[in-house]
Amino acid sequence: MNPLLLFTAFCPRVVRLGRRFGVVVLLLGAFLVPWKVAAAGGGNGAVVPEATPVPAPPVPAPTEAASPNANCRMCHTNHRFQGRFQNGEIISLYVDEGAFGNSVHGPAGLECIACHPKTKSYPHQPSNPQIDCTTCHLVTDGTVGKVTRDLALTVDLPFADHRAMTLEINQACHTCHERAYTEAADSMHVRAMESGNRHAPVCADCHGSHAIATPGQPREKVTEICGQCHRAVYTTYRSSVHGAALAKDPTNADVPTCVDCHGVHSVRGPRSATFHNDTIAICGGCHQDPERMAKYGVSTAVYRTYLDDFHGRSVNLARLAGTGQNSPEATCFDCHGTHNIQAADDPRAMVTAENLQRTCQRCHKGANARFPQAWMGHRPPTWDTAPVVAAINMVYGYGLVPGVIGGFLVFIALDARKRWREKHRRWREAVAEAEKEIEAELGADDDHHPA
Amino acid sequence: MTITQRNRPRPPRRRTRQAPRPEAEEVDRIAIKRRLLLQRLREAEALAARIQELPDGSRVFLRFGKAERYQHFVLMATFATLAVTGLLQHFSRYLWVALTINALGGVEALRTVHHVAAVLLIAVSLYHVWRIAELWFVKRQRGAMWPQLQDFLNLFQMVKYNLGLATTPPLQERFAIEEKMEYWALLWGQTVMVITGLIMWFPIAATKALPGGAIPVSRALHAWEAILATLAILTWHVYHVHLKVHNWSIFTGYMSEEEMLEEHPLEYRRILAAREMVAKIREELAALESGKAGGRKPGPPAPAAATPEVQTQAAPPA
Repeated sequence: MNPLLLFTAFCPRVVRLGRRFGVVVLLLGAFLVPWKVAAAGGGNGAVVPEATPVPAPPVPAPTEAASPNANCRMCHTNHRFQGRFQNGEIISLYVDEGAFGNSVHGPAGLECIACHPKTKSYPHQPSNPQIDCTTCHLVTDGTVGKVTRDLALTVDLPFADHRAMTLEINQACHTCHERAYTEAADSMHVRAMESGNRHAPVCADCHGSHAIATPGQPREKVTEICGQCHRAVYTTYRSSVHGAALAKDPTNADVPTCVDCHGVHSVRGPRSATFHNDTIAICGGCHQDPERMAKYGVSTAVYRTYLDDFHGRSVNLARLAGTGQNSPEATCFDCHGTHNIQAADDPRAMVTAENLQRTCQRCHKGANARFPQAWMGHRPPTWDTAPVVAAINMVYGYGLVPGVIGGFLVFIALDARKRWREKHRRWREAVAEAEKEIEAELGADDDHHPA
Repeated sequence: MTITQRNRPRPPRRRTRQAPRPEAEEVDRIAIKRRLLLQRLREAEALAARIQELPDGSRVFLRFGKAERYQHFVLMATFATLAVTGLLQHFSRYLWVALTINALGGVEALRTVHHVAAVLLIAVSLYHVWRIAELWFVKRQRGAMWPQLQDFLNLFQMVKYNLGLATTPPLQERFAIEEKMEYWALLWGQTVMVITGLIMWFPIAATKALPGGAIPVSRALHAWEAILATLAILTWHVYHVHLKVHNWSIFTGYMSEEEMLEEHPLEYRRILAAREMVAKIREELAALESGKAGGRKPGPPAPAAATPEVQTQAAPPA
């Protein structure tokens, strides 16, 4: 609910007005709600972790007094219930009810068939010839016995292998999580899937299946999930300044996890031009924040000084152009590294005095040992950091430019004033002269004398 | 390049051992006089040739030759291009500037245009330097742009006149003090711009000879000098050649008689005097030739006062 709308509802004046203009208020609310959604969604490149999706629980149809999942439970709480894929792989069909109850879907009251919509009947259709009544209801000395829950039972599954099953069941996520699905549509992962890699991650690979927890709780878990596949990157990241801080405090909200830079569902290829250009906003999003940086003693001038410099200007302009044109100039990670990023005073950092020349040489081939001195280290030019630049700024900014241009303007003003006066003086003189001449002409003419 | 100053004799070389002076009879004084007269004739003719009679009887005066006009045109075009493309880059932190840059084709395209214009400007500057070198070392003249004490006195006189403390404006020579100030400011500014620009364009090569700190220093200097130069053009230049009067002579090459009288009265007088002098020098030369033909012996030189000072500033109007 929009808080603004709520506020208006409690305001007595508005309520009085509301009686007369109730429709107007409702219309206003209708406008405010989408506005809020748009404001929350419109980020400029900086990636925010997606809020916990609150799926609308499908309305259960309790035809029986028992839980709608009761039928499923009959078999799927059996620890020894197994399935065999067509390739012979065996999978446990046991579902941990406790884990499901603690997942985000458990309290929401989701039924099994919400995600497994094809298994509506019992036993599952198409009917499985392996299972008949006596499979479970043991026949003991001619009579039907009780249900045996711990029966060792292996059934054939209608899937080629485990992955085929995951991909099939994963389709169900889209029915509720439409937005995440749309976001992911252009992601690197979906593209990998479309290009034929069926091991590219789908929802269940990152979020899990029955024990789906709120994402990013704790934040460290995000890095571990990505690390399941991106192992080398994960190892490097754990030793970086960001990863080490997260290892120290798994709930640290200041350091970026994978998704903070790469995005969540819309994870893009890091080699794309837009990612290269947007990096400055991704890093700048945190490194401009004085509160966050003060905790670690990191300067917030880095972003501004970078944008003032040759590299930053170019990258920022390419980013604003939004044409997907890659700017050849260095962005943050070109000098600081990506997953191996270290604090600038760490000897492993790419930007220490010892390593800087090699870092510059990645683009500036043949740069000598003096070349890195050209870089002012994200420090604004002051008397301490760059005295000559500071002196130039002072001499020109306070002396030469205002002095010379001001002098010019004073001279011009005086000159223009004098010219204007001279022009009018000459004009007055000409008028006076003409007056005198005409007076002299008229002098002889008696007719024009009034007296 | 116009000749405005008469040849200045080089200071005598100091010699430790004085060479024996030749006898006066050995020196061909007539030949020397003839040579000097011919030289003056050339200069006077060059000056007099600046007057152009128009069919309607009025006169115009050549102010800028073809070379100057072309140089100015290239300078104007490249300066404007460089100022626009450079200042846009400098102020790209403002959103509207950034959007303008992207509308113009992006910063990389702008940089290419900037570099091309810079190369053209450097080329025209080198051509200018070559002409100055020719003037100095071949023709042994200083050129009319050379600053003199009189220019600073003119400036004071003009300020006094504008303030109402003097009754007459200063009488200006071929290049008035406003023009000289602009020329020297441009010369200085462009030297700074070319050096700092090349340092930024070729940073790796620059740091082979200079400390790395030269690059941020160049950046600061280049930007400030650009702002200063652009503002100077927009104020000083625009006022003096567009607002005060619209002076077309840098494009047409010619100035009307009224404009000459108003803005460069001393040069105007000099040109008119030179025209009168051409005939006089010719007569003298003819006399010299006839005397020689008559078998006259080399004698004492004609008095120097016989040939009037053609080109000094203090030359009285003929």
